[in-house]
Amino acid sequence: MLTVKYKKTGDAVYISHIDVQNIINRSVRRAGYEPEVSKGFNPHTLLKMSPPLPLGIESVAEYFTLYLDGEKPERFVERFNQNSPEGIKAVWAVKTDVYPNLAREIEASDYIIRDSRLLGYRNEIEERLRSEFEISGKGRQAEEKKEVSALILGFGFTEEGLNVKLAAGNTALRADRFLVALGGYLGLDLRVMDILRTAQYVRLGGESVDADIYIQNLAVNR
Amino acid sequence: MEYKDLFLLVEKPARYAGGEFNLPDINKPHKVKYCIAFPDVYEVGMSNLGIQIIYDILNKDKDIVCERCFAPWTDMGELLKKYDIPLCSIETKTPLKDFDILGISVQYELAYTSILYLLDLAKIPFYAKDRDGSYPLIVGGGPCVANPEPLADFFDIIVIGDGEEANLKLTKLAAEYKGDKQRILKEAAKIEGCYVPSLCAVENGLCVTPVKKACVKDLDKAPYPEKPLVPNMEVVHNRPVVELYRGCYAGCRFCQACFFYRPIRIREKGTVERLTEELIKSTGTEELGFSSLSSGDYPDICSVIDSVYGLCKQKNVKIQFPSLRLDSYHPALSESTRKSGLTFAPEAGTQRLRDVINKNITDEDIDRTTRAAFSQGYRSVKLYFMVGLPTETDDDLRGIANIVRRIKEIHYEVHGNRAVSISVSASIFVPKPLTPFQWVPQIPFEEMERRQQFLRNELRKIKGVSFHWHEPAVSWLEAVFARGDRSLSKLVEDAYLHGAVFDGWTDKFRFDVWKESIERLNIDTNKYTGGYGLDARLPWDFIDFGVTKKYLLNEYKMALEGKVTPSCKLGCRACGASKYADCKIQKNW
Repeated sequence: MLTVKYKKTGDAVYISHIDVQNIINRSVRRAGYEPEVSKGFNPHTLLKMSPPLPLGIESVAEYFTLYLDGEKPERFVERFNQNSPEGIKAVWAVKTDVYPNLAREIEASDYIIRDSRLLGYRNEIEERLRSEFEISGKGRQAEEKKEVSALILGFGFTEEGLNVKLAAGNTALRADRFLVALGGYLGLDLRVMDILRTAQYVRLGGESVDADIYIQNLAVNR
Repeated sequence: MEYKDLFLLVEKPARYAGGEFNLPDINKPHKVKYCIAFPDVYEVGMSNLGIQIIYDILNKDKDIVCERCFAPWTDMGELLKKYDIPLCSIETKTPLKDFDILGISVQYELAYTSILYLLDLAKIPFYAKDRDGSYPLIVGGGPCVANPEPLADFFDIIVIGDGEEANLKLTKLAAEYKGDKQRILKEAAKIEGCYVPSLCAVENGLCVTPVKKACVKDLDKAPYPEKPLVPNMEVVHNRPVVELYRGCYAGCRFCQACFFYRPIRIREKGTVERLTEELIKSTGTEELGFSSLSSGDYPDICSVIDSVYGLCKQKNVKIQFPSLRLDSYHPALSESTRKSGLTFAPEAGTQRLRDVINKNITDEDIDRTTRAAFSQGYRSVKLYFMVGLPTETDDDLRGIANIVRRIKEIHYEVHGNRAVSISVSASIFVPKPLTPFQWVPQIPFEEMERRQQFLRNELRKIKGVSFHWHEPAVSWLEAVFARGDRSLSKLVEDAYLHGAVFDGWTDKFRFDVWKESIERLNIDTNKYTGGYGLDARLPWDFIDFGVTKKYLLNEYKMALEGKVTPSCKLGCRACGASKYADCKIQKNW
């Protein structure tokens, strides 16, 4: 089994999750690999993905797992990158014996909102993120407001803009919805394309652990 | 607001983003910029082989850069208008009006308004006479320009026939005489296949300057996209395609493509095998199409399948045959394909009517083929028929139901009581130019509805059959334009300006808009749907397709007598097409 960390950047942000899956599958096949396929009527590559990334958001911390043996991870990364389209590129890969079910395990993600205007609103943002925070979403009948401050797990500022850690998994706060709400509070027109996902976290032994570390710990050297 | 800022406001933004694998070097130094446009959405356009062929040929030339543009879906179109942003190419997001050439592929009549939609969003005037040298040359092409006349006023140049060589020559001309539109047009008119409407003589509204069609003489050596673009989203036909041959042996009398693409030119077995290997490698596909008008008629098709079978099995690639004639079906053809369902087109319900249309298949062919398919594990059959064919009676419609009954019986014999899915799809016959039926009237509107209802009632008596039909209004409009003349360009314009666009999409087709436009412009549509006299000068008569009018007329007379013309495989029928290239009539079958 091979678990791969990859980036989704540039114009690839407009590609939906299901299409990314097909792109990865074809890129792997173009690279000359024949990973294990399902045993059904129309066999398809067994490919497991980390949770979907909303359209428009860039990420340097996405993951997929393939049932593929007999290739050095570094060599896989090189060949994959030669055969994948712009914007979908592998960062590293490791061999694992255990399937890291990231779609189920991931509980939080880090994002940077790369808009330096936000630095000018430091106090307002700090105050807002420490109190109630409402997002709008589609309810059963109409638009509904939802209080989500419990899903904002941390934040900080860098030269680029605002860093924020949001809950993922069953009770998730989508970064694009967070952005729209924040923009509403500040009276700023913030762009989804300025969001970059930088890390994802899983719960391990009662602690939130970077998915990188979680996967590397599962790695086997053969 | 900029072009890219709109992407997240619309459905499926990957339609506009580009960045597909196998992109050529778009940023190379170049002398001329071509944008190939398609008057339908990305998913439809990217499934079109012609687009990939032209894109590949032009980008392989050191002096040319070719980009793409597809009709934006209505959500994107509305935003472009709202924010006053011109339509841009996919690759570099360059406004279409900044290209030297804008080539538009016309696939069928109901895309006409979408051509104007493209021009409108690109801020380019509709009529050629209103465009000076500061606008790109607007070039038309594709199968639907067999009768280019309803579009003649919009295009500067129309490439009739095979686009490979003509487009390349044309683009080189545009590089040589850049900015001098008149000179380009004058020189273009000398290229075989290039019709320049503004330079042609017109008598009584009909073009009388002879134009020859473009023809690739040696298909085997013709360039082919070995590394086609791999879409980043699901498209209609999400698979690379090997074109086995061009032209058709069958000679069905309703089929325009058969006569338009003659003479028959073949890709050699070795080339097909090489392309298969190359395409699997360069695309990573799980499915590959073997395409042509009747793939099963490719010489020695089974031997080709045999030789690529190992590779396909190893790479887990399924081969698809999009068009199989019943009489050419061989179990080997479907062994390596996905067994999801089999599609056949008997076209008519009785032997008598199949003889009239020269669909040379028999009831025995149908029985034998479906039995073989069922034995192989197929559990669903889709059947295509046409309603309103010349000389059709209610008995012929009953014949459709009889075929379905027989297929059900055969399934019972093979599989017993297990369920079978039979789907019958009936379109309305549209008489097309360059066919032996180019003179015949289309059945009246009310009759279309009556016959559909009749067939529906007949099929209702059979359990487990689903029936799909085409909207009569759509087929009627298609018939108006198919044999239309230059005077119809104003109808296309008027309907577009009043809201008609994406007419080929059932939910977008607005018959009310068309009816109002026809009334407003006082157009006698009966002139086009009512048929032409056998001695009439037809709007497309100025084009030399190779296949002669005399041959078509003789075929028409034979149709009325119920006489068939055997396949070209059994001998040359002297249709005239071989004047353009060596017609590959194989003698040893």
